[in-house]
Amino acid sequence: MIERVDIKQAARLLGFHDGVPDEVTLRLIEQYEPILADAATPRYRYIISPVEKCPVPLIGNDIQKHLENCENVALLCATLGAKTDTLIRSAQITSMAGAVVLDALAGAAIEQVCDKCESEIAALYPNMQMTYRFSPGYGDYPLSVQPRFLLALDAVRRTGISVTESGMLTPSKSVTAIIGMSSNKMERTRRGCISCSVREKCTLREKGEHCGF
Amino acid sequence: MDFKELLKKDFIILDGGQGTEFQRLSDFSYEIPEMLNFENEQLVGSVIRSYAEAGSDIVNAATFGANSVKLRPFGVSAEQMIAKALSVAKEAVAGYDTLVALDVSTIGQLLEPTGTLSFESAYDLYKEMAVAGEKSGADLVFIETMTDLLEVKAALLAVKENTKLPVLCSMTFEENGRTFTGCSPSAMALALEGLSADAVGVNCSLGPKALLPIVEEILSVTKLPVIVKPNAGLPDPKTGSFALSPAVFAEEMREYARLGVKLLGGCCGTTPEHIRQMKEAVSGIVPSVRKTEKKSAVCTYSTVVEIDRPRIIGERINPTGKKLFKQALLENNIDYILSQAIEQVNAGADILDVNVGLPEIDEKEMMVRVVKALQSVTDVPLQIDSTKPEVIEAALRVYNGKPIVNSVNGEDAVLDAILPLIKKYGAAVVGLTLDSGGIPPKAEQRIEIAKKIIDRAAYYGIDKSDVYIDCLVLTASAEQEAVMETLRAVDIAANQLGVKTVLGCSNISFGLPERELINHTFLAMALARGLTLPIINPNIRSMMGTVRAYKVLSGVDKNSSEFVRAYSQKSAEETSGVSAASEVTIGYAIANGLKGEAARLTERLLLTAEPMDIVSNELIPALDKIGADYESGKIYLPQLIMSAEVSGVCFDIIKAAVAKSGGVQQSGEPIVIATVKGDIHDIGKNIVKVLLENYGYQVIDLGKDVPESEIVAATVKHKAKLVGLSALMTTTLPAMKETIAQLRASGHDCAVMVGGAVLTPDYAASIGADHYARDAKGAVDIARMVLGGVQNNL
Repeated sequence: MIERVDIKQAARLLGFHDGVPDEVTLRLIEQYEPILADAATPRYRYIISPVEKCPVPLIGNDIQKHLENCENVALLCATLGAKTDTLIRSAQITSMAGAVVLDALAGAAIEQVCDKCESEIAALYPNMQMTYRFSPGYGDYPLSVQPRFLLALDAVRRTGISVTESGMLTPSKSVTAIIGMSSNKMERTRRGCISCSVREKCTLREKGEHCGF
Repeated sequence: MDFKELLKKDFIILDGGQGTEFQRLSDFSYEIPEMLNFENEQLVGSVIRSYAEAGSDIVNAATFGANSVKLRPFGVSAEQMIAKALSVAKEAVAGYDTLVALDVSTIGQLLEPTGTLSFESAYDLYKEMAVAGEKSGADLVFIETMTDLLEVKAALLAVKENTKLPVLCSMTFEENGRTFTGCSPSAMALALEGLSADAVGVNCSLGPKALLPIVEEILSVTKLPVIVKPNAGLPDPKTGSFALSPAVFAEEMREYARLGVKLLGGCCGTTPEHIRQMKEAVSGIVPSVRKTEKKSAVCTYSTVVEIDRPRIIGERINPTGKKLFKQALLENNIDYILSQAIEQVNAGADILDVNVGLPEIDEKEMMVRVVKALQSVTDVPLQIDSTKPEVIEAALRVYNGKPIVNSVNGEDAVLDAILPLIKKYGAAVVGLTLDSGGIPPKAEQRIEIAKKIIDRAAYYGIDKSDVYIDCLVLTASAEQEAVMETLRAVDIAANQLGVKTVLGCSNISFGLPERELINHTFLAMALARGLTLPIINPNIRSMMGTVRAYKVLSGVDKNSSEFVRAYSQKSAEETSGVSAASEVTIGYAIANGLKGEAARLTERLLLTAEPMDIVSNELIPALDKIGADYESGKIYLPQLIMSAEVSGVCFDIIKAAVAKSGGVQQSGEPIVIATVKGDIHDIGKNIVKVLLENYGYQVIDLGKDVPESEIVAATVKHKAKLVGLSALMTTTLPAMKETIAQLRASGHDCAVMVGGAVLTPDYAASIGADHYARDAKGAVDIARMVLGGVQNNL
């Protein structure tokens, strides 16, 4: 169950950089937020492993850099479940504007599920510093690791997440991510544009600015 | 000993967790445990033997993930793996009176529509496993840890159609009583009993206590033997070890033995000791006699609709007498059909009749497409409406749940062609009370035909509760006396034969004025005689109202709660406080998403203005302003789309007016759009479609995950001068590149525009695209540039 979806983040995903939607959009968000919250069946799972024994290949410079000085990694996966996909599909038949808003709400909601998972890990390991979540597809870390990722987490059986031949996670509102963990002091970096789904079209980014996410 | 013999025992003891035993006894870190069959045969054999020793009547071979998709990276075929695993298992249980099951689980990819794996491909993968299993000496097949009912169906059909092995089916339910894909326990039991599984049940996810309500639900709806294979409680998040000791597990399993669950075992975290103690704990328990009543019910994968009160079958998915619907079928416009479905469901339909028969199209192919598409957006059971056995069977195969088939009649040839399909796929069936002699005039004669249908169904093993009798409505204006005969027949069928009854109610008024009045009065009369399944147009208020009112008056709708709920809500627009002030213009209505208002204004304008003038003076300027506001950042995507949707309503009204006045409708320039092969994120492409349509272009939408050849073929066929391709993932960009290459190679002259989250203008140019669409508005601009301004398609 998701209690409340982060409306500010949903508005950001719809293009409102400051997280404040206009009146028409706000009305749509308020109309669809409870529907999305009701349809979502969030699940997540994680495992902790020493970096050198990480069951998922750490290919590329970006993930290596991300895990610099970390002894352990947390591998996590999270999903909003299949019903969210059905909801967004069916909204596309009756109201495309509604579907777009639902899609953004779902994008915000899956981040919230990941946040919850991350705080659970943090609570279990209070003496560890943690990096931000780094997902396959960020930078030069390839999507081709997804099948190994899901196997390592027994994700099909435990969360209902699987991956298509082309490396897409299904249900579509699903995430896999790696968090670096270290007992040494670490500067917590911002995740920023690398993880943002609208990065290629972001007008702020074009101007060299940043929304603060 | 075989499975049939085993069924005579009070309890059949299954094995416990296999994967968790492998982990407990070794430090294996194989990605798929099946590889242990080759790499540590002793370990696999000893775990399997330990369950035989502990008293399991059936043990699983280590073949859980032995399908070609999962094995591909390991260079082993499913057949090789299964042959090896079964030989290891059979050797392990030598000397014990223990059966060996071919263990089968999910392919590991989600089926369409959420994933990309087709039902047909899943069937082929399971067929390969089942055939190999039988060849290698498996005694039965255990399909387990499943979460998608349709995937279970693919596996079950594959085993049943290609081997003689008994099949046990078990799904995995979460605390909320659903599987990950939303399947409910009763829908599972209803559908799998219909498909002739030999036992159904649950395994994994939770401990024995937590599974109890789920198992009780299953016991209440099926007569099949039931399986329960829980985990040893929940795992500790830090250590991963399971909570329940063998003694506690065994004690908790006693309750299932008492309830009459026949197949008992364990899943993750249960050891041979758990199984040994469980077997001891249940021995001597006398299972209670299960009192499962056969009820009339149909279902989707998640919702069971019991026919214990009037249930409305929506009649609108049918081309008969509907020009727009026919056109949609001819143009492959599935979205139109889906919108008809959703409209009826929102109006209150419990079941949807699906008829796509049209001489000009391939009915079988269309039926399969429509059934799959309907199941992807709605959650009401379907009634497959066709007279052709091959169409019916194709639909029954891919249907996810238990549907109704409409229909058979009293003719022997029809009964003997269709009833075996009903039995095989576990559907319900509508029986029309007519035969080669036509519709008999008297009620008693129709009842004779009904009896014949019921008897023949019983001969094929179909229970009376799954036969719904249609006593047939004749037109009152032509045959007035026939009306009361129909109602008398309904009465006898419902109250003496004790079957559920169906009536298509809308034809009664044909040829009369004020048809609605006749229709709902007849509906009320029929309901009072015992009609349970009226086939009506649920969008008509008086028809829905009659059924709702009847449910209040007959005491079915307790405390009138359904009735009050239906009539205490006002439509969103009524309550949104927007005034219908006269100064509201079409432009204002479009900008503010006021569909009803825009429709009224358009109709009013049509009284005084030429249709094309309304388009060029009102709609297009409004759309252009919205487009400019979007570009300049004054408005955002939701409002842009909402405005397009409102203007779409206006266009539809104008088009209808032109058609009515005999004007010739021209189609706009065709544009083919598709999300490329491998890619299933199609919301962006669908937004582009909405916008392009509202600028008058004829959009041929090929959908998502579309093979290159299909895109080329459609482009050539429709002589499209513009093609739009979408891809969201870096992994599907090669498919986009290949599509463009094939379009060029075809020699057909067209421009290609591309878009999607990971694309950039440079990349678009590098793969040979002519245009890069930054967003949906950008796509419209490209279309206007390539094909010319606004389409005059009226």
